[in-house]
Amino acid sequence: MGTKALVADGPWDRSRGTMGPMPADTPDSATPSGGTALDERTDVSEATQSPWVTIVWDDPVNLMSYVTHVFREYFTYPKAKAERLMLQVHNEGRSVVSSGGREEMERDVNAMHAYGLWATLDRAES
Amino acid sequence: MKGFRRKDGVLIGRFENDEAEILASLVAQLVDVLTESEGDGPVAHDAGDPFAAWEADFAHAANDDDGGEVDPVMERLFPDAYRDDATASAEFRRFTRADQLNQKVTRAEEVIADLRRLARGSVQIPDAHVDAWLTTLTNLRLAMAVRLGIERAEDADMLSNLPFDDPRGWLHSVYEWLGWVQESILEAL
Repeated sequence: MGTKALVADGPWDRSRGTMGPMPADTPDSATPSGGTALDERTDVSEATQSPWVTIVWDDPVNLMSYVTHVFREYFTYPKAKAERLMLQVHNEGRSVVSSGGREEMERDVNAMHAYGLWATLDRAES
Repeated sequence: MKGFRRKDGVLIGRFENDEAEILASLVAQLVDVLTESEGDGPVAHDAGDPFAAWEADFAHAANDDDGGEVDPVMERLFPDAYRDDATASAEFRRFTRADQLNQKVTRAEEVIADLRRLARGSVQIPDAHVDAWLTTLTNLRLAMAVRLGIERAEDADMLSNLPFDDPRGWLHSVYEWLGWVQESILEAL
């Protein structure tokens, strides 16, 4: 990714992205929480171990390289996954970056705010 | 300024003296904005300080909360944690804000300390201070973006084409430069 050009007209300017296509390493789930064996009688929404999600929203200030850096450093995501999530924020305006219990998600949101990213938590699937 | 490079666990960047001074001054103003908004009242400004007007604007907005108005800079630095739940957001803020604020101030002061150690035009950032630099540059750019009215990528484009004498032009060029510094740190890691 270019150094100077990126900053010149705003980091989120799509036309300046020089990053190649990202390998689709994992599907939608952003958390390596693993599959949970569901009791057949239990409603899925009650049984899931990840009823809350942390969402990072697009903003015109943060550099793409910085957002990727944050995802790698805080979540310890591999580079490809961090870049895929960053591009999702960039292109779609938001990305679910983690999921889990409410307290855990409040921790993640708090951490994102400390990094200066715009993040909220919400119930999964809402 | 030339880009940072990393050697023996330290990032080294060459700054012109006035570049280091500008950055230190901006970071000091960020600290003022963060601390003034906590009700300490504005500090006296040096009339000769070229940043005084910008800071005064910052401070004014930060303190002008009699009518319950929140400074948009502080709003951006301490955003709502819940999109559609003001009560939960307020609760979240109550539990997190003091620590967030202390951390932002502490990190900003680490950056100022590194800048004060400028020797022969060389700024050295120990690995332990890299997060402080990255987050402080981010906080600074977020604050400046609010003042510049950058809400979408197009706003930044518009600001690139301001007439030379527009007062926002200087602020915007500094804003871009800060992004370049941050990018340079990230590439050196």
